[in-house]
This record gives sequence, structure tokens and C-alpha cells, in this order.
Amino acid sequence: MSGNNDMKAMVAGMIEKRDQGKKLLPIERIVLTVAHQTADRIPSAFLFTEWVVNRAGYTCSEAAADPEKHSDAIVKFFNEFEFDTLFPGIETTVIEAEALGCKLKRPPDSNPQIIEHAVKTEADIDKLEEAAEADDLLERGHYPVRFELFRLLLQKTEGKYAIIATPMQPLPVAVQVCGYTQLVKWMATKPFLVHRIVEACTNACIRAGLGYRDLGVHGITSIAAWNSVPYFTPDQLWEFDTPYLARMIQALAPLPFIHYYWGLRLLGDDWKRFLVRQVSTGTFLMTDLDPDPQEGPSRDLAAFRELAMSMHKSYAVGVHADLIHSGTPTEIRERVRQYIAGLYPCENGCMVVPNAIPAGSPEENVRAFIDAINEFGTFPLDKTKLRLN
Amino acid sequence: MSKEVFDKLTKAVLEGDFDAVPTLCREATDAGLEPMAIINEGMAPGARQAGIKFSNGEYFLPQLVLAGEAMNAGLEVLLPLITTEAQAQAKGTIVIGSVEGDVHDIGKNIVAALLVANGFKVADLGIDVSAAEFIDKVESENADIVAMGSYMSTTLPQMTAVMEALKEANLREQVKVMVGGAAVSQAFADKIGADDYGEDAAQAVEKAIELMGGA
Repeated sequence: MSGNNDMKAMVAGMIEKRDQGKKLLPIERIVLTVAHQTADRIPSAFLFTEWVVNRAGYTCSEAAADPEKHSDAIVKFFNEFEFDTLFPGIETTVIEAEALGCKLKRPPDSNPQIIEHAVKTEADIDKLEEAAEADDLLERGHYPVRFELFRLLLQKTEGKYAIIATPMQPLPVAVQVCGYTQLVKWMATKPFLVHRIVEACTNACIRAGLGYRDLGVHGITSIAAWNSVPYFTPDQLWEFDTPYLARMIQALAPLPFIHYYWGLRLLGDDWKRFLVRQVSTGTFLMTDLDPDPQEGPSRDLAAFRELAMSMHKSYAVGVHADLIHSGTPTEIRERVRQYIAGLYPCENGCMVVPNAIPAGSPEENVRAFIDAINEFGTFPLDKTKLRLN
Repeated sequence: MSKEVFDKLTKAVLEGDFDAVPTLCREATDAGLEPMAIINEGMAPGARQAGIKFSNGEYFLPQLVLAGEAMNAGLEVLLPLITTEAQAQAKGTIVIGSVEGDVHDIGKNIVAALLVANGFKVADLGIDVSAAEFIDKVESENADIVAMGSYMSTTLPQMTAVMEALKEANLREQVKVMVGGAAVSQAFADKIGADDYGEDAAQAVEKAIELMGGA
């Protein structure tokens, strides 16, 4: 109870600071957002740090292997750009899979890739379950490097930035350990096997999450990659993703926990029902990461905002990574304006994010994004600038 | 008899029934039906319909992948029975692979399955394919088209490397180049001088048919 009161007092203090017209710290913007409050400016964040480390002069493999370099690159980025947090990751997507027995290839300047799956036959599932329960799970592969990265980030950012840890999500790990095609075939013919696999992956993901929680991170973003349509049907996600993710969120409470969905436009008119079902996991944030203003009912950002607020969730809309990589600064600025205008008045927990900043993205595009957030997303929002008059 | 078997095969592929398709293929060959006819009139329509349903948003990726797996399971039975003469009737020969550094294979496999379903001879090099491997295969197969997939922005430069290697090997004039994959766009295809770009598997097949003169 006192923890709850502490949280209320902290949020109240931030609201007072905001109302006095003072500029909030990046971590304060994030805290207010997950508490369904309005910050001084719409906060922004993004997934993965390849671009960040390349910009600091490191290759991806160099930074991934060296938490000092990786954390230095992130702190340098925070000092030069006005993003409010980021979700660190170069090897993020394969840590659990490697610890559970997958073999990796580590190219010098790219994400590691799985070249051999841990589960090739039904008999391998027993080994997977043993690996997920093993005492030394969190000492395997690159887990120690990841934990050191987050420890250093907490130390180096001195409480100004929210440090959000990034364990994998159960179903995506199951895809990695089995391979997508094999998992899909078993879903169709032997669903009980798939439940065993996802169960084992859930145990591993929870253990990783607890490890990050013990370090003192401020929140958790589970990395999904495979958890959205069209990779699985909504019913498959409901059966094999949602309940396991909910268990992970409950296990890591009271940490704020965020998970993502994109491709909602592919669901047609069913996109709202899909989101309502998915927030049953207990996520702090409802996401529409690829509304695509050109097509699909999910481009209706006002409906998305109202839905999130009716479910008492914060909400984030994402600009597609392709635009950050290959668009122009003018296009990026316009896309940010469109999204903020679509979400207007952007109250009670609004975020606008680039889904990722891909390696090779021009620096002017990254600056254009955050400049547009500052220009259009600073409260009180300017309806004239947003062309809402 | 043949129509009944073909209809069953079409349905089984469309529904991704990878257990039933090989059995139906064996029944069809035992009944004296030609393997190419079984592919073209039995399995291929199912794969094509699955591709259309995916493009329309009616199918999600698992259903498309299962249709591809069902098609492949049938091809394992039939391809050894197909004569060289029959293979020569193919619409063209395509060398396909995910470029070096890229181990993603789902999208590439779907494209390969649909190309076979549409009458192409496909030499699938798999994943993590170097420029030299593409060149060797283009030469040995006397290929009409090279189809490259890249699913991460970090592997895009490998497509440029293949284009350069084709020029260096004096093969660029005799082979068309198609590109696709999650990391690729029409703008990128134009930038590296590819002949065509397929946004999805169904479009890749359409583009391949166009490149072969709409055969």
C-alpha cells in the first residue's frame, strides 16, 4: 500500500512540476505516460540500437559484446537527441533462444541470426524444458553481457532516463527454437506440443525478466517480432501468445510492462476487437505501430485513442521504420504531424514513436522525427500548426 | 477420375493438408496421370488460390506457409518422376535465394513454391547465399531470372554485390533480376538497377511471368 502511495506522490509531484511550466526529465515524461497522465511533451522512444552504436563509431557486434561501449553509445545518443527512452537491443532478439539451445551466426554489423533451431524433433522438447529450468540459464550465452549493459545504463543515466529492459516474449521465442514452419505445422496438427514449447519459453522469459527487475530497471518491453498478424492468425495469438504473455506480466509486477502489435490494418474492421482482447494481458500501453495513413480502418487514430482510454491504457502510435530509413525529413515531419493531429488532443498517456531507427538511416531523418515531436507535440498543442482549425 | 483427383489436390493444397497431398499425388501417378499435369492442374491452382487469399487478407501467413508445405510435400513425390523433356516446357528457369548474411527463408520459400506452382523451374539456393554462389548457379542452370530476397536492411548491400558480380561475369545482359523481401522497396530496386520488384509473393510471380514475356 505504501508503495502505491509513493507512486501516487511521485506522479503528483511530476504533475505539479509540469503545471508550473517546468521542463520534465525524460523519465518523468515516461512515468506520466504509463500513469495515463499528460506530460509536457508527447514522449518518444524506439526499439533497437544498431543505429545508435554505429553513430558512435562501433560495429554492432563490437557494441553487443562490450556493454561499456554499448552503454556509452546510448548515453551519447541521449545527450545529443531528445528522445525520452529507448529499448536497447542489438542481440536482444536471440538471447533467450541461444540460452535455450539455438546456434547463432554473428555477422560483424548486423543482428545475430539463428542458424540451427533447438527443437528439431518432438524428443527435443524434453531438452528445451530442462534448459528453461536449468540453474545456470541466466549465465548462458550473452545473458551476462545483457545484464551488465542494463546495470551500466542505470548507473550512467543517473535516474534521468527510464531504463527499460527488453526480454523476449514467449511465443516469439517458441518460433525461434522450433523454426516458424515447424511451429505452424505443429499448431495445425499437434497443438499440445506447441503449448509445451511455449510453456518452457514462458518460464525462460520470466526468469530473464526477474533478473532485470532485480537490477532495478524501470520497466519491461517484451520483444515480440512474431506476435502480430499476419505472422499468426488472431485466434492463434489468442491461444498461444496472450495467456503466456499475461502470465509473464503478472510475474514481473509491479514493473510497468509494455508489448506491441502492428499490422492492425490487416485485420480490417476487426482491429479494435483484437486490441481489446490483447489488453487482457495487463499491458500498460496499447499500440498501433503501423496504422499506415493510406489504408485500413486502423488509420482511425481518434478511434484508437478513444479505445485505449476506454480500456484505461496509455497508447502509442508508430511511424514505420522504412520512412525513417528511406523517407525525407519533410515526409517524416508530415507523418508525425498527421499522427499527432489524428490523436489530438493526445491526453492521458500518448506516445508517438519511430518503430525503430534502422542501421543506415540518415541522421537528418532522426533529427527530423524528434524535431517534429517537439514542434507539434509540445503541450499545449497548437491546433493551427496541426492544421486542425 | 483425373478431375476428381485434381480437385482433391487443389483443395488439399489450399487447406495446407501436407499429410494428404503426397498420398493423393501417389494415387494420381498410380492411376497413370502425368506428373506435370498433376502439378499444373491439381496442386498449382490450390497454391495460386492460397496466394490470392493471402493478398486479399483472407489468409494469414500460417495458412500460406502450410499451403506451400503441402505443395512441397507433393513435389517431393512428383519431381523425381518428371522427365527432362517435361522440365524443358517450364516457363523459365529462376535461381532464387536469400542474400548473404540473411537467414530468413519463409518469404523466399513461399515465392519459390508459387513460382513452381506457376510453371517455372526453380533452383533454390536457400539462405545466406553469396554473390559467387548466385553466379555459379546462373551459369550452370543457364537461368533466365535471378530472384534475391533481403529481409534486413543490413543485408541490402549484398544485393548490390550480386548485381556487380553479374556485370563482372558478363551475365547481366542475359539474366533478369528480381528483388523482394521485407527490407526491399521499389526505390531500392530502382537504385541498384534490378529489373523488377515484388512486394509480396503473388506479385513476385506476376512480375516473373512479365519478365518472361507474359508466357
